[in-house]
Amino acid sequence: MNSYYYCNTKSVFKEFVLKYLYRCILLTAILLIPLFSAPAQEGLTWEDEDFLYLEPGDQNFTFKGGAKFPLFLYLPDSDSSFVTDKFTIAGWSGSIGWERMVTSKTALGVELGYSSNRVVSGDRLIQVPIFFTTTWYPLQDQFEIPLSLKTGVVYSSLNDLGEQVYFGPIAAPTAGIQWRALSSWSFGLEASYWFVPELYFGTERRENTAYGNFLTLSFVASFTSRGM
Amino acid sequence: MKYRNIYITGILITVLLVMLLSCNLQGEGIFQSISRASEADSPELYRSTAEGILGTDNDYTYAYASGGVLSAFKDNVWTTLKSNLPKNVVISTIVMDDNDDFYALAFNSSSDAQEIYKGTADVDNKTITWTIEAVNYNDETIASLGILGGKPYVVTHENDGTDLKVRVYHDEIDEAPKATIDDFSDDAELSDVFSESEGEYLIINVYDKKDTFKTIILNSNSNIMVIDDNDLKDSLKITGAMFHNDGTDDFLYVTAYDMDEKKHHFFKGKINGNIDFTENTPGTFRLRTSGRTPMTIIDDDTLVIGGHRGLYVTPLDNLDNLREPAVTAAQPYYGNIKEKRINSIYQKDGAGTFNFYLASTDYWVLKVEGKDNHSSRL
Repeated sequence: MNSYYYCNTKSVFKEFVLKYLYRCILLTAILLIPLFSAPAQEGLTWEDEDFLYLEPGDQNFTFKGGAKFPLFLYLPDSDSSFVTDKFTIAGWSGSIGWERMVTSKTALGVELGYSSNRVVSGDRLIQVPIFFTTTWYPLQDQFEIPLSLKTGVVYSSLNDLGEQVYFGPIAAPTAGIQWRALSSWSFGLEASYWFVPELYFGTERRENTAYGNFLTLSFVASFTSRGM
Repeated sequence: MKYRNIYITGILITVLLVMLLSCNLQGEGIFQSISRASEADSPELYRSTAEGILGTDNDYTYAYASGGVLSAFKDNVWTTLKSNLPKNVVISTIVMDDNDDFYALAFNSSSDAQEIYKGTADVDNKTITWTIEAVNYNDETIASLGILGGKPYVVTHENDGTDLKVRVYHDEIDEAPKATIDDFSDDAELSDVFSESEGEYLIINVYDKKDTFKTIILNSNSNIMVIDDNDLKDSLKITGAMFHNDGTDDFLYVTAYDMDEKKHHFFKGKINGNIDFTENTPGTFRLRTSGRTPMTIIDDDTLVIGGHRGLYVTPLDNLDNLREPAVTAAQPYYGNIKEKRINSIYQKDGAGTFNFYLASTDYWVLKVEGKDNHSSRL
């Protein structure tokens, strides 16, 4: 009985070490990376804090990937104007982008994305947006809160019977939070609301006009190239 | 430098305009299509082949895929019904009678036998329960299973070395045959059996090795009409047939394939004790060369034929006008149907409307709701 109890206690302890302690150590190590590596890269210390701030001429290269949630479709001329149940719960999206600081708090740039959502019928909606971005960095510290307004054009394709494609406008107000982990690298999360009008003109096709509404939640990695 | 920027801007604007103007001329709109999408419990259903649309029972519309997998549609959702048949029994044809019972022609690979099953669907529990009705009909070969006058029929044939006998089992298909036809030479081979969509006449087309055809028309009272000497050429193989009453007379519309000339033909025959066919439209259209060519009449005056790829339509008063519909802004329904192989046609609300479903290869069931709407997938 004692032997069994001893063995059981040992296995519980082993499980605790493997499962929880290991994770705690790993997480602590990750959190400590910027304390050592960031200042070391450019000979800066945390007291200098220069690398926390963006200056005009700095360039950010962003890499994003995450989930894309269909919110609703709005069809103004349809019997059921708001449609919410025609997609599976989430698709995915990804993008690469570039921006250049034009002031110490504002950047202009472009972003190329790709996203996919599955329709309940098994068809797939592919959207490839090209954004022109204006980003405002109101808070620049170890944590940044970039706020963006993205507008541009989006190529949409639905692989249903007719393999329909549409090329139209898109607008995407975006907010994020990023943590400057290294002098050149920031990591964080971003939420972006995609408003995608599908406009048709002329009396025969006007009733096909509809508006797509989506929300993306993405992990963001941003590389900053300091201006000279 | 200035001119280069203007030049590049001009090119970009042109490219954008071309893309904006050229996109989505065929479809009704991506978001519109999505808003009308129906749901299947298996997304693969929409990539599968619908062999037939069987009918409606308690607001459920039934269709079956190749392999005999039956699915029911209601409230924008397709439900696939699990069969109780073992894997060695493969269904090739399913029909539905006026009592909402299902009948299936199947092949049992374990016993090497053709079998007829009767099935009852329970959509709430996602099942269909099949019970066996007949096996091999005393070594006769089953040629066809269908619906005649709202009731199931089975056509068999048997060649005993001296005679070819064709038998028709109707209504109580597990009992004695309702009709036996033995007016054939001993080396005849049964080619095809068709029943028209309104279920009053059955056409049995027999092809024998002496290159002669014999067409038999059987009505739902089992009266036999043999067309022995008609305008149909000997080399014609009938691929589809449909009965229609125009309010005064009974007509039979027949599609046939000339195996010598490799050409399709389309005939109209008036049923009046006998039947005299007249050919309409030279064979510029492309139909199936085997299996059944589906036909129906919509809008009271428009004949629709399911083609090898797409549909052919013609007004009944001018059958020489059989052709593929044009896709126009005022008539966009055909855009999504073009190039699709049609296996059967089902009129949702009966004859006289422009609402019908099409069982198609690789695209499941297509829905047509008026000629001024885009067709979509059901």
